Amino acid sequence: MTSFPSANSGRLAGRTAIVTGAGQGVGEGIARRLASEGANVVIAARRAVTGEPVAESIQALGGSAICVETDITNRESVAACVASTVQRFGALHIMVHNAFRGGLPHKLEEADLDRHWKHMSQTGVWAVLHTGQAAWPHLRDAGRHGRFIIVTSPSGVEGSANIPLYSPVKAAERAIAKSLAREWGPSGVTVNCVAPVAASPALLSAFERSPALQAALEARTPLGRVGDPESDIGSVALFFASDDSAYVTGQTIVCDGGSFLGL
Amino acid sequence: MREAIVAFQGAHKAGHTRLIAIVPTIAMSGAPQLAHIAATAEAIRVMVKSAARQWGADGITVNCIAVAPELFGIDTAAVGAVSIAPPALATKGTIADDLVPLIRLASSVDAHHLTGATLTADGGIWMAP
Repeated sequence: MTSFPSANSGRLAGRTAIVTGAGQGVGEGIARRLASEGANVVIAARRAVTGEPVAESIQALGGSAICVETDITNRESVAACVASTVQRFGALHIMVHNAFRGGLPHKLEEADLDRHWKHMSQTGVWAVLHTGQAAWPHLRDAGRHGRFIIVTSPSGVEGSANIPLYSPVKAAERAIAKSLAREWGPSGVTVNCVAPVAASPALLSAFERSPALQAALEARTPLGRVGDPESDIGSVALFFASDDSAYVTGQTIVCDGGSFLGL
Repeated sequence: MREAIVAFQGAHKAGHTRLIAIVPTIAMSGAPQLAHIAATAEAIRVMVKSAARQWGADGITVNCIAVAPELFGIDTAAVGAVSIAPPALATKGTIADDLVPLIRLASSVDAHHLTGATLTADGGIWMAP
């Protein structure tokens, strides 16, 4: 048996996490990083065909993971995922909402409310509400170990000329995080956001189509590279998931190699 | 939010060159029990930035004015304190005396190089970043 590539000190031993959209990309990277620190991880993927291999590969490394096919745009489906998780592992300490569909370039003046806004807001804003509401009773029971982590985007802070309605979706997620941080704080539960630029399948595909895009992105990034979903982004999510961040809530860590320096 | 998108599209189609959105400061601070309003307000505030970036080449400026939640009829007691410091100014803001002048500024030729900005007029409560 091989071992996880990242450092493993068992910081999440005995904790259980759900990661939505963990069948690939950033979600997969976060799931792997949390599992490497001993968490039971539920791979909440839209299609089991993508989620099962991730769960199996974590198991092969000695980790604890299962796949639960989940449609995050459907409240009942998310609730069923949470119920399955608690039934299997006895508790839920960490909910990570990462899944997202959409983000195609468009002109704001020509944007279609259904094709652009509704489509993106269902997997963004509404899915944050579904995952947060379903997880809340269990996060509250987890008390000072309860964590709600939302994967947003630097675009949700800066706005975007290429995908103008993607930015408000990601901005809304941050506002919900701040609101819930204040609402849930008395229970000890923290709510934070990670805003990554990472080598997701979508970005790698864009790089294949346009090598100039990769060069431009790396040139404007002080660290000169795009983040790795597991070692770079997953490690930031791990910080929020662990006891190390017990006094941090309502915050966003922009994890983009230093491109955005707005604060 | 859908109405805000339609309003922006309509203003662009009509040829307006000074677009202004007005939101409560809970867009930036968040608010317990009011996550839905905070989310909508922050979505509008960042759509302003997207529009400013996309339409700037056409000479269109797009800005945001953030005002105290009570000007939107939001119960400030429910919002709770958003700063450890008290408001810098002792007076409460009003639409006529405090909001309208900022709309006039953002609409004027004086603001031709101002776009994608959020002007916060809440008496000095929210000062981040």
